[in-house]
Amino acid sequence: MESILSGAFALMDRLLPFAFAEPAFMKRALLALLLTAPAAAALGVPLVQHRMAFFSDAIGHSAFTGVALGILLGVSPSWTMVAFGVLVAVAITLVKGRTELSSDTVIGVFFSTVVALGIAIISREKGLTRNLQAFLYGDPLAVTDAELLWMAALLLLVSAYLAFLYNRILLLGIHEGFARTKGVRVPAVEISFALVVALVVTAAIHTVGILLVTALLVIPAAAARNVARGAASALWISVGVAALSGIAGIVASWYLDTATGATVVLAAAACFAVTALFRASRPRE
Amino acid sequence: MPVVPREGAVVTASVFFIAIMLACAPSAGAAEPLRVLTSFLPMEIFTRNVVGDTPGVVVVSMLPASMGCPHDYALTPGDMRKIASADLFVANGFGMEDFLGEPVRRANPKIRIVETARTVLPIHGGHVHGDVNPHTWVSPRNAILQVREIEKALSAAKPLGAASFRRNADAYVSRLSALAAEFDAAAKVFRRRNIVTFHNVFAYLARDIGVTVVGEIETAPGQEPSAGEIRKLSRTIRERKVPAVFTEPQYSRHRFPGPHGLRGRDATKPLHAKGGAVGPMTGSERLHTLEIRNLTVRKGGVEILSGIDADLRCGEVTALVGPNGAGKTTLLLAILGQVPYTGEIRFCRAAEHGQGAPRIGYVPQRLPLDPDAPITVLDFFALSAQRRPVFLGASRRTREAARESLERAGVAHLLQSPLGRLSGGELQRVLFALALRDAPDILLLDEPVSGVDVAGEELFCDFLSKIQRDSRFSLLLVSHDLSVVTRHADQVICLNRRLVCSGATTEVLTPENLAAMYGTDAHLFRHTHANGHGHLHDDGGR
Repeated sequence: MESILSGAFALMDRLLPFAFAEPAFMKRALLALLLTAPAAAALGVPLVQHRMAFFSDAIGHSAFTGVALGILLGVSPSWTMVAFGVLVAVAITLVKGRTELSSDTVIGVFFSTVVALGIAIISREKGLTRNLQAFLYGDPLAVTDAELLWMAALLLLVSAYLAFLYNRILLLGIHEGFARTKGVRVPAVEISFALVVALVVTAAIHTVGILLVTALLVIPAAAARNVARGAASALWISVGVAALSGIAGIVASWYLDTATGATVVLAAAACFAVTALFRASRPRE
Repeated sequence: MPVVPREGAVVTASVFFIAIMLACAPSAGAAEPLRVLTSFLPMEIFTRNVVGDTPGVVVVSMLPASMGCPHDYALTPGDMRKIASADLFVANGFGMEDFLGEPVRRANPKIRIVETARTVLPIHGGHVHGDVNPHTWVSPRNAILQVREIEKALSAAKPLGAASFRRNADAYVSRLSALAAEFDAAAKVFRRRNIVTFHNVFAYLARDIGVTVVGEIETAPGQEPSAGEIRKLSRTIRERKVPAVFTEPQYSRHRFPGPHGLRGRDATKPLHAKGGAVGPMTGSERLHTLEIRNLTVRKGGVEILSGIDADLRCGEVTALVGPNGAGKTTLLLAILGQVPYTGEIRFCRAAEHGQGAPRIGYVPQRLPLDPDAPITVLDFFALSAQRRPVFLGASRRTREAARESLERAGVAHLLQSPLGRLSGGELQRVLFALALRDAPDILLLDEPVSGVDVAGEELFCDFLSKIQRDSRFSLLLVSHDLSVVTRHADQVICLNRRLVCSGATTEVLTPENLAAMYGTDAHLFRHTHANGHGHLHDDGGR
């Protein structure tokens, strides 16, 4: 395992012979972003099609409670965060399918309940607040080897998942009833998608933090919408924007001495602005 | 009480008396009026036109106007009374009135029978009525001859009215001549001159305007053609390039062979309004593809649909009508298995469709798409057609199938267009194309022509003629547009949370049923806008 990582670092040394890439923590941060941001961006395309931006935000915030629970129970918060995020994602999806309430209402109820629970836990345990900082704002510079390996595994999982189910997910995002007639098993697709989103969101929290994690899913997909003409280009542009803003954000944060996660999101936002300008200048057909 | 002078009353009474005497005077000696009995509607119309306002003539018809030809008519006691009291019996002849003969003579030995078709040059041909085709009056030229026969008979029976009969007959004949000229002019433009008729009603008219009847669907009325006869007819239609099938609205329209796109533009539309949406030709019996029994759908404790029984027949167009909130879309969703229900929905498959679950095509009422969605029409086809994820591109097979079905729907140029930027009509065409590609057994259309332009409605008609050609699937369409329903649907299911009525279109869309569905104020009326649809309007005003 360790050898895989050291191999990757050696490769990065050859490819990026720059001052910013020299320290090991910078290589880790770069690797973390190159593993999570494209996965998040790829999921972001159907996520935006499904209008689930709020959903990913709710999962991100449930991580806050997951971390609090982990610290409270003395377990590694990285894993309680994942477990709790997955739990909330599945719960929201199941409840959404069984009520007449609109999905944003259901998400709103879960969102506030979960965050309130997190705050209640923290307020009881006075010493917790400091430990939460890393999760709220993200700390890619302190990412561990285990987390990197988990991110790599997740990237493979997301790739396989999308290769297998992307068409059905997108069809479902266009029209549920129509997708059903085309043989899409809606509950299975919905729950699996929510689950994969929850896994990626909780992994991406390590890089940009709870407050900004939705940006990694939504902004590249939104930028892709500005310029993509078809479903294929939308996904590849989204992934490209994510990788580019990951690298650009890290480099910029090195020279500007700013928070890495936030700088990455700003870089993604800059990509969005450029594509929006490109779109505005293009004559509309 | 007002005081009335006595003399005044006497004067009034005598004036009245004299008036009655004067009125009766012309027929002095025959105080009884001339009683003319006509056999069926055309004879009645001819006779009434000749009689006009001539006094002392009573015209009575034997068959109610709603009945067509008196082919298999059986006399009732009431008819026998009419015969017994009549002086003159105006019939078509040539065997049209099979019931003429012994019973009539026995009921009234003195009755004079006028066979008006006597002077028409007969067309011979096998028919249940006998050797001679009796449908002479359909041709206006023959009608003129028959009217003259009626005039002659009336004048002989009542010489005093002769001048009046002559005047009325002349006026009527000039109208019939104008009609004949109109037919001739209309027929001049026909390029293909072979037609198929429902039964041999149009033979004389066809002779007049130079059109050849190459086939009949029911040689004997009411006797359904066998599979072999239908096959032969289909071949005839194909080989002789028949552009039109002439139908009769009072008979079932289900069993017309439709191999040839029978809504051809050069066809004989002006002659008959019913161009006929047409059914399958898979055999002599029509199979149900879908049977719904006692279907009930509850949502939130409310019964949205209760106790629905309905059938979809193979290859037929069934319309689902009803007011807003009647549960039409819910019924579609139940068929699609998308809402829980109690009761039964059975799919039955004809052997030719192969085994397995039936394919159900569904074109939703609206496909809410954000205009920015980076999904092209080709992507849309690829999403449901190929295993390869769409972000790796569309396979060649997908691309070819998509292009082909888009071409069939007339929108091949939209292949690379973004789905969200299509107009309502274009999106409908794309959805139709997608439905066609999958060759469904049952196609469900939710409001196919709502919010679509005239061209879109034309597509709908083209689409129906495609059904005629392929005759593969049953079509269930939800529509508010009753003109679409009456023109294209074979069967109608009327819903208002429960089944209001169902059956053949012509039988079901009665004012009573419409009232039961839409409330008593509902009525069918025509809009004045260009495409002139009939719409149903309920109090909701949609």
